[in-house]
Amino acid sequence: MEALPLLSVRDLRSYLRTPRGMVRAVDGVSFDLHAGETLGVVGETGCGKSVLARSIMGLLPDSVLVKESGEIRFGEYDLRQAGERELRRIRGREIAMIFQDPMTSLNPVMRIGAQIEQVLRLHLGFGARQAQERAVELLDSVGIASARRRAANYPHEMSGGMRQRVMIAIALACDPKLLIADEPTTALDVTVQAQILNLLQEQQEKRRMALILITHNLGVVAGMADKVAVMYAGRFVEHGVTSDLLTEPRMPYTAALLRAAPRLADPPHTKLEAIGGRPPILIDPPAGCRFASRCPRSQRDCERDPPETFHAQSGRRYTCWHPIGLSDG
Amino acid sequence: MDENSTQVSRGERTDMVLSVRDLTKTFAAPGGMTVQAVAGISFDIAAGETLGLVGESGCGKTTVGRALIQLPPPTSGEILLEGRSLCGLTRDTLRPLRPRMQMVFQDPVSSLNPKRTISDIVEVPLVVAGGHSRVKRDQLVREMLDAVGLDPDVVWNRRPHELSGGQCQRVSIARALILRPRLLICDEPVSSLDVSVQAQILNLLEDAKQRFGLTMLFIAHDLAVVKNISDRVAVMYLGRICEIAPSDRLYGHAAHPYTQALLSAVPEARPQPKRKSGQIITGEVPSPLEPPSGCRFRTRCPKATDLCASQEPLLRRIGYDHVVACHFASE
Amino acid sequence: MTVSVTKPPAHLAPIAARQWFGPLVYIPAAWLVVAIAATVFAGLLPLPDPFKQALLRTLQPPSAAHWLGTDSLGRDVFSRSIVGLRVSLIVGIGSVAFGLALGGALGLVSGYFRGLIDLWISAVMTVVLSFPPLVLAIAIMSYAQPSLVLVIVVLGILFVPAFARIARANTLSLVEREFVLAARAIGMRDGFILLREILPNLVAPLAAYSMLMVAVAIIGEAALSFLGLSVPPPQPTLGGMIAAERANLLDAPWSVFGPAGFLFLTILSLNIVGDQVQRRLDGREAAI
Repeated sequence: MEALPLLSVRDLRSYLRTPRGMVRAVDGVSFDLHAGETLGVVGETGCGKSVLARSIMGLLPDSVLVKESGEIRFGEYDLRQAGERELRRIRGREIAMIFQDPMTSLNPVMRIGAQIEQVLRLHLGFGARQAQERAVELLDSVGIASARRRAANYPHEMSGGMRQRVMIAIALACDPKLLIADEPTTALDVTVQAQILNLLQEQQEKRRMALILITHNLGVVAGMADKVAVMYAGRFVEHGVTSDLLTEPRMPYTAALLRAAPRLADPPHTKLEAIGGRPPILIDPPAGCRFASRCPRSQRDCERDPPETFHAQSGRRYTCWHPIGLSDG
Repeated sequence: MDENSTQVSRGERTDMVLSVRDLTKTFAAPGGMTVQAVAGISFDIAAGETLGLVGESGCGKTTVGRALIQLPPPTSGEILLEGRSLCGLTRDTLRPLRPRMQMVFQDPVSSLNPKRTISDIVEVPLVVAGGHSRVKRDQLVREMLDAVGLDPDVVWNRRPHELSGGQCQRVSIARALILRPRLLICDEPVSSLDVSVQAQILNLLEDAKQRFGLTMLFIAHDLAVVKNISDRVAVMYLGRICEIAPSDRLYGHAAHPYTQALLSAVPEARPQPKRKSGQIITGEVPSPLEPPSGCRFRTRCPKATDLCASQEPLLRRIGYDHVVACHFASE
Repeated sequence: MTVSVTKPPAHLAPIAARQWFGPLVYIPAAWLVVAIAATVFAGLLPLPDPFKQALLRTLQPPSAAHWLGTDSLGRDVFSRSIVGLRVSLIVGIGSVAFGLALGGALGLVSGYFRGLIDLWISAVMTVVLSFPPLVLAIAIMSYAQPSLVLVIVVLGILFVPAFARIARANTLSLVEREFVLAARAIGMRDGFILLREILPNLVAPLAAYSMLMVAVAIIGEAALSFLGLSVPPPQPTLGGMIAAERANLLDAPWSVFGPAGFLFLTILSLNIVGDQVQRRLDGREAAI
């Protein structure tokens, strides 16, 4: 009998106001996440993955958020109903988030040690001395050499990889139960990316923390995530155990993503299978399947009726009328 | 630092479109110091070949691309384009040579003037080069837009901000190719694009290469992308070349420890065990202001010895068409 | 060849015009249109002669014959205000145009070529900026023979550093952009690059600023004419009218509030519309 999920999202919808109209950025996302589990959310630009992360954290400003519906349960909290004060207590303490560009996420005029101490004093009520010591400990635990000396540095004095480590240290300061990482390594070199991903995994195992890893790179989730959700046009179009999904994708979009990326093992000049067209702008999304116009397997019913989400026995979910391997055509 | 004797002497291939020897580029850094972004590199590209230049941030690969088109010119070294030396030329003598080599840049939106229409942007190289009538120019622009997969009627009067990243990159390629250059330098052309669009643009570049008989230098940080599009790959680290090898040999038979580290760090979209800590390379790239003595990679190299600290390894041949700069290269 | 033909979807077309401006901007914009039209066509309008004195009917309150009453010499305040506004607008637009052309050119050259040229131009700009602007204007106009052209030039010179600074800052950032590098890579000459690639991108930031500066110039001219240092009489100027009728403020407020009201409404309208233009021009640049 599986334990209760740590995070439970049901039919989350976030519609945003833009100068061009109302964008249905997240349009019905549901998933469960258990303690210690890693969920990879993979999607291309504009699929809504960053909006999803911010919705869970309640970080979308009222001026932009037009409509939100659905349920977000985190432990005993109902995140959508929670007031701002309660959310502020949860953010940073129970749920932490790290972003893509550490340069803009860190305060440029504050020493990094002080930025970590700030979190400790605010959420955990540490005294000044205590916070200072703990900050150095944290910097050390995320692999920053000479942590005590480094704590006096400003963000611009550090490299991209180190700044990201600082971000992780800040995020982990209060031992959160859930860490949301929004494209944490996209701006980093590939060798540094490997280090950071390794660090995340190490910390996650040590603290038994749940992790949502958002990225556009299927390779990044391959070695990190227990389950992967592929996001397209505001919805999860496929969701399942990572190894199964990578070897046997059901949703044609997932298969297309896998085929479009060049692989080291392939010989040079291998023709890549591009996906024609572009994702729909979510102001007035098409009636049927949102991938239908670009799908090599699409048929008449795909454009007409929005596909339902089918659950396979293995726990795999896909939103497609004609999944690969299970139906003809 | 003479690498000529150990350089890729490509035997039968003598039709080099581009020959680079001991290219260096030094910048002034704040505080009166100097940074050697490129510290003496040499390579050749034969006609119809694509050489991939791969490395991480700070390795100098973008500087190499800019130095080749002399914007800004290199500090020292020799560049031969179709046998003709580019170094030490005045701006006026260089100008007629420029159409022979063109560049495609990383950020598709900022590489196009936001205030001009697409037709304008693609046409301007013809205007600068001169010698075509208005009617002829329009026709050439139409042909080129068509060749890169854009409908001329639809995009003719549009501005860059009305197009997607992938479309802007196509315009950029059209502009680069309209003068029919011999050498096309691509500086991270797909790094800011989504995977599906990236595949479109890579396919487009391959097709354009065949159709227009191009020779390409493809600069990028993504090893899988570089391997896919290149015939040979040169790996750079902190301003120097570590290894040059044919693409297919690189994957299985990389000789330089840095190349091996890069390869193992590339995330692959296939099922794999969760932690592969053994292959993770530690540390960060040293500052180019104070590169390590001897071999620049030694501070992060598992094979480093005292020899590596005292003596900088030169590029030496270890196989047909395969050179590496390491004292302890495998094989 | 297997490349796919792509079309930008229709919904990426530019935003409809009605979404550009807030509704409040139409009233000030209307005032500006009417005011400019009135000043241009003043001679054709059936207005009383602004120069005709009627010493028996001084300081008359507003009436059907005189919409804003008469001043201390019996002259029609309304028509004088319109003629005075004409001077204000000519000076406002003229001086800004002068400052924009000269300052923009200097900033463009300074930002593109850097080095010694930049050093010298910046030094000169700093010197001009060091003078308190109004004091300098007053000083020059006091010593010289005042005339319309001189007022335009003096105020114009005071605007040059501001425009130069904007042009220079924008040029500096534009020069780093890859499309300028691409232009150089095809062999485009510097002059061509300045005109073709950089200048069109300076229009937006400079245009919005210009409109706001016209308002400042009008205030400057009003200050000068109030002190009697602008265009000499008998040419009516708004500032001059206010100065002349100051003593009659309590007895015949219309003689002061007439020109003051024109001044106020025009400047307010320029600020509101200029603000909206700036917002629209900035917003247009942002990608979706």
